[in-house]
Amino acid sequence: MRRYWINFKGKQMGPLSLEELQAMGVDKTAYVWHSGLDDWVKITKVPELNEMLENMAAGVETATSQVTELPQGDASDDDVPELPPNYYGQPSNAMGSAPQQGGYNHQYASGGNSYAAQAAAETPECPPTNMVWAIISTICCCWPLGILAIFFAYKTKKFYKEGNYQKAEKFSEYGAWAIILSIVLGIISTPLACSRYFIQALG
Amino acid sequence: MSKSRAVKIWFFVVVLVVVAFFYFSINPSTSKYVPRCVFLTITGYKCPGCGSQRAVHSLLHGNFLDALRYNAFFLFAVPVIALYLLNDYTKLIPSKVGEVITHHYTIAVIGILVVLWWVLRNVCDW
Repeated sequence: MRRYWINFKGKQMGPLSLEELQAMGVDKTAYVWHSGLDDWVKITKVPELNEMLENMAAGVETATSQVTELPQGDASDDDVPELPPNYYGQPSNAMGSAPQQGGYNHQYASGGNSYAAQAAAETPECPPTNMVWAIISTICCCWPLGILAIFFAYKTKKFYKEGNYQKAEKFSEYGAWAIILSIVLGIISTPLACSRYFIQALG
Repeated sequence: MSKSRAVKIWFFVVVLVVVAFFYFSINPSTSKYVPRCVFLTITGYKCPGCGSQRAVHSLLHGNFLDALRYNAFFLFAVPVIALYLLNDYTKLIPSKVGEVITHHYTIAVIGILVVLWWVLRNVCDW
C-alpha cells in the first residue's frame, strides 16, 4: 500500500496511509509527497487523494473496495525508509529509527493525534517575510527594489506553505537584502538628485 | 514585554513623532529642504512613492482629498503597514485575520497593486 507524507496546516508528518489521511480530515490546502515524486505536490494533483477529497466533500464514506483499487505496485515503499525532500521532522514510524519503533507503533495504535503533536514540535516557524520594510522601501526609496522585496515575501510564504523550508529561508534573506540595497541606494542617490535640482533652480 | 522590545517600540514612536513634526511644519511643495525623488529626476517617470511627502503634509493638516491626489497608494499602504506591525508585535489582531493578511495570495495582490499603480499613475498622470 502506498504511504503518503503530508504538509497540512504548517505541519509535516508521515508516512500515513490513505485511511489515516481521511481520518485526519485533510482538505484541499494540504501538500503531499510519496515515493516516486520529485517534490511536494498539491494534494489535488494526486488522483487517488483528489478522489478521496471529493468523496469526503460529498459526504460519502470511502468504501474499502475503493482502497483496494489503489496502485499496489509500490511494494518497495514499505521496505525503504525514504524521506521526502526538505523534510524536517522524524519519520513517524521509520524503519531506520529502531529504538523508538515500538513506541511509535504504540502511538500509532492510539490514534493520529500523537503524530500531529510530534510533527508540530519539529516544524520550523515561517521565516520573516519583511513585508513592512518592503512596503516602506517601495514608498520611500524611489528604487523599484521594494517591489522585488514584495515578490520575495510572496515566494517565502509560498515555499513555507509547500513545506520547502530551506527555500523559504533563502527567499526571506533575498527579501532582506533587496530592502537593504533599496535603502542604501536611496540614501546615496537622493543628495545627488537634490543637488541637480538645486543646479536647475539656480541656473 | 522584554526590555529590548520596549526600547525598539519607543525608538519607533520617537522617530515617527519627529518625522511627523518635520512634515507638519514644512510644506514639501514649496520647500527646498525636502529630498526629491531620484527616479523622477533621472527618468522623468514617477515612482510608486512619488508624492508621499506631500501626502503626509496634507494628511497632517487634515486635507484627506489632497493627500489622495498626491499619492493614493500611500493612503492604502499606511493601514496595511499598521496591520502588519500590529500582527507582528501585538496580539490585537485575531489569528484568523493574521493568517489572511500574511497569506501569499494577499502578498501577491499587494505586489500586483503596486505595479499597477506605478504604471497607471505614469500613463494617466495621477
